Amino acid sequence: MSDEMEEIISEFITEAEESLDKIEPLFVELEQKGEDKDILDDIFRSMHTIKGAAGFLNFQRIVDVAHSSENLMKKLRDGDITLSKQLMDAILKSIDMLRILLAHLKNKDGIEENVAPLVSELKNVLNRALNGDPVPDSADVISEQTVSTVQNTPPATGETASFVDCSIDQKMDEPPHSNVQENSAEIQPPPQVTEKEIEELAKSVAAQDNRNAENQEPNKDAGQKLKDKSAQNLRVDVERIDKVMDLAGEVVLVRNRLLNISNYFDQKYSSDPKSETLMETVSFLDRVTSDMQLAVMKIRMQPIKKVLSKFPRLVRDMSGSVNKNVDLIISGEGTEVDKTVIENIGDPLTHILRNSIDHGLESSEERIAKGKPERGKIEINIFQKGNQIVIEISDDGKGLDLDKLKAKAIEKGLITREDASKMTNEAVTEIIFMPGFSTKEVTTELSGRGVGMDVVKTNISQLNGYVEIITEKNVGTTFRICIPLTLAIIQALMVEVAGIKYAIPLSPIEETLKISENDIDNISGQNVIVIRDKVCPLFELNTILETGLNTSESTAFKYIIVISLGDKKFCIAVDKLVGQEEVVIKNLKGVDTNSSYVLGATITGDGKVVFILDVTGMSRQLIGTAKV
Amino acid sequence: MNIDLKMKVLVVDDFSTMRRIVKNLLKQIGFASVDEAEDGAQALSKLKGGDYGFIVSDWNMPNMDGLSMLKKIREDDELKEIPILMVTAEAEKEKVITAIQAGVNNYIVKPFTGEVLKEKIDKIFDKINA
Repeated sequence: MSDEMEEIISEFITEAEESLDKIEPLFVELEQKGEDKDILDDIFRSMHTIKGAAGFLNFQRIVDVAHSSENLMKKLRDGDITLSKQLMDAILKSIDMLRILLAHLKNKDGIEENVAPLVSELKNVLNRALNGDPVPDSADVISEQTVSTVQNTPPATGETASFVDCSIDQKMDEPPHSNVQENSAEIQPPPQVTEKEIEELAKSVAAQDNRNAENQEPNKDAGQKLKDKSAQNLRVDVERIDKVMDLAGEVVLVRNRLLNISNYFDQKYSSDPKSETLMETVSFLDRVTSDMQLAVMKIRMQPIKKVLSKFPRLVRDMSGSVNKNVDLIISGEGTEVDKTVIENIGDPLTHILRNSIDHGLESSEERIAKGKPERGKIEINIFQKGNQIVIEISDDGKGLDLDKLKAKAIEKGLITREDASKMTNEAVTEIIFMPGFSTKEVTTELSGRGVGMDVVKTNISQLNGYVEIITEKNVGTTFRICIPLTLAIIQALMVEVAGIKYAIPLSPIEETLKISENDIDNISGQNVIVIRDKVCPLFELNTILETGLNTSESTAFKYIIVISLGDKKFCIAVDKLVGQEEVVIKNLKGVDTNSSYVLGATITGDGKVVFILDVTGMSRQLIGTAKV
Repeated sequence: MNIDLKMKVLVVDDFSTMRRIVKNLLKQIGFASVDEAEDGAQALSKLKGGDYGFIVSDWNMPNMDGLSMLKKIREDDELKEIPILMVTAEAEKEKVITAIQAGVNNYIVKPFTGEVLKEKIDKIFDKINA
């Protein structure tokens, strides 16, 4: 297969998938809001377009499936049939099949799906809708014929009739499924326009035109009046963008080093005028690099809408299977996030939704008994806060039963009774993230296998984010996910402990303090300090990291970094605060970031390799069982 | 063959894969200069002052569909002579008739091959140059 052909097919697959992504949420909207001609037309057109291109590329199965559902859509759009759940399910099935077919194409696995059952099901559904009464399934007799279809290329016969304005010599073609028409009621063969009829018509049109020639209106400058609304888009290979991002990261590192060196020279040769020129130049480079870095980061950012588009349908299907009525309200879908987030946030969000529908929301009867509206509500809210993206998923269900959680965790041996008694409420909610936890006796098809929630947490930490749970009995539960905006380059605080430098991401740092030994108190074995009348646990970074080294001779003063992550707050003591630096996070292969408190490493301005610490990970370990 | 292969052709379709396929077929026929537009509105703004000799356009498009674009072209003094080939997947009576009345030169049903495309184009220009 030629390269050109490969590219065209690959482009087709991408575009077709995008089309399906776009129309899927529209279906659910249709079902809820009732028939909307514009939406129906949008959906019809998408099916039609996919069918058209697939025809050119000889993807017969795709043509068949698209054609059958296009038919349904057409009847719906023209008002010949009305929307029913059955119809909706059938069309959604065809979308699923199209996705499968496209996936086979993408993977080039050569698997040939049998689309015959689906195609005949679509025909049956359409028939039933047209006739208004159920047709017994034995009408599937025609199914065998539907698969073997012939692509009709219009016979390019010689010139027949010719007209003044146009020549139409092509025979009017039936849609690709011509052999089906004998039996099925619903595919009416399009009226066969004969050559003669067209000839007559064209002649009369021509005559009319001549008469109208004199009455022509003055030319309207149609072209300029129209706003060119087309957005300029460019399809770019992701690899190319990643390469640019990599290079941008390298430039940032080099800039840091240059800043460092030029500072040194500026101090050493402060009297030399060239020194000032050097400083100016480097300062300019600094600004430009920052701008470039921002611009590059933006290239990869896309509206999170892409991920959210499949949720209306997901919620519909999931709630249907557990017999609950759920309304999904989404806001903030225009918020832009990095591509990596889009690729990895789908699964965690899906699982949280499943959890809410399965465990959180009560059944209709229960809700009515509690005085709540019968339909459960799930809200997804996305917004930017500082340099973080916040995604909140809230349900108005029964909330987490903290006592039940504790009991279950003890029963499963995940925590001891003693741990449980010391736990804060926040820590208890975190129990659901423990691997091996589930409160449903019988796992449903959807969730409760005990693998879901901890995977959610892992996925989100891989994005350098964290999850919080806010819950209230009988009111509902909110999962709040916070993810940093930039994944690759962050502002960090450089600190030193036992002679070794570390970088701590700036975003969770609330403040830094200098305290004396006297300020440290001890409550039940836990060191604390009091900051503005609030007690805050204190940990030595040296101890946390278990360096095994001795901290520099204990001075009267200690430097404290106050970390604030959602509701959790704690302090870390270090020997020295070195300064603030913009660092590029480089991933370390072979290091388990989950257990080692290390996010990655970076090369600092003076050319050394420094670990970037994972304070989120630390907080989970340290605060989980802290008494305060 | 009556066609001037150096003439500029405009391919209009909202699905970029389709534009690419048609462009490919046109290039195979020998057209050197083929441009694209993603709907009727974009097409019109390109056509004005664009010196295009021929248009191949889809029927169903958002923003401005093929039929509306066709009508606007025929109303415009500068553009009205440009021959237009409509690409359509449907072959119902009304659509063809509406197209004729609006001034389309010919239409072609998809999927089509390069040969069929060339024949259609030949016919259009044979008529014009006759």
